[in-house]
Amino acid sequence: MVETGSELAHEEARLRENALVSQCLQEAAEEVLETMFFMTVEREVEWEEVSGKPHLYAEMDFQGAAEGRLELALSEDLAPVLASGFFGKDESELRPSEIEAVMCELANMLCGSVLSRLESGSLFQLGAPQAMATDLEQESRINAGHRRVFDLGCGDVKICFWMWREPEANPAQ
Amino acid sequence: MAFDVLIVDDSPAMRSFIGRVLDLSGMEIGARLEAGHGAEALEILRKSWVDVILTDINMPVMNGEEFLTEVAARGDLKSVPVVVVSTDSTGKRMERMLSLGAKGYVKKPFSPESLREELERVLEVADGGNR
Repeated sequence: MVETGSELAHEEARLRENALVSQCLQEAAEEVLETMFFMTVEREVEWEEVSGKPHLYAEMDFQGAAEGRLELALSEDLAPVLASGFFGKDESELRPSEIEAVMCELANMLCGSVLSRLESGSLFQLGAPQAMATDLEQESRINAGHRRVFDLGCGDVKICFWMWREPEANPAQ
Repeated sequence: MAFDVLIVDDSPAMRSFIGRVLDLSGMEIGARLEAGHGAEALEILRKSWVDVILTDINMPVMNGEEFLTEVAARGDLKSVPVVVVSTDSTGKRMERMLSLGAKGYVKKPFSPESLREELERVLEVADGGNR
């Protein structure tokens, strides 16, 4: 199949955008985890490498200059560690609602951080982050869009990000 | 001199975190009041004076923009500096909040040092540099 000049240009633009979003996801994750949770990203891992492990989920939508969603999954061993640091409490004292609240805050900060990197000159309305039940349906929800998985040593963070300007005509991914 | 602070954020977890960061910042904090949205904050401000307000943007009932507009319109609150503490930190959003009357902006995520620095800067501005 022969690609036209315009198709090649479109494909190059798509690849550039993918690389930019991917880089922004990494920078945002490193910044948020280090600044608010004093955790360091040890390495990036393959999505499939952690897909069988139990995770807790949160997600949030945004609208404005572009529309989209950020989804977050924390491995069950990592979520209480992050919540413990956030609240300054021992893990044994944490309530499930506190762990969910920290998941939501993390999703919120990641989304804001990514958008400010990608589109600093734009206005967005950020939706309210929501913690989601862990089930197979949720697992499948996070299997599209720009995806990164980071190993923090004591667990992993999966991030999935979609952004599109015209939902029907011009998806970013 | 201790500063009385009002924290406006719909997330109890974030209010608690900001409070803890203030405690760790080394600043002298007096009363620490909390509200879940702008309308609740205005109700608190009817009864209590504070030295500085820290507010989120995305909140139910009355969001940060509406709250800032109300504060700017009320003569008795005009002198209270408002610092926005938000994840919504595009340049455009920051510009908008500052144009509505915010005196400072702290992007989440933030370190205790960055919150302290911004509060000190804003309180000096609010007090004519006398603190």
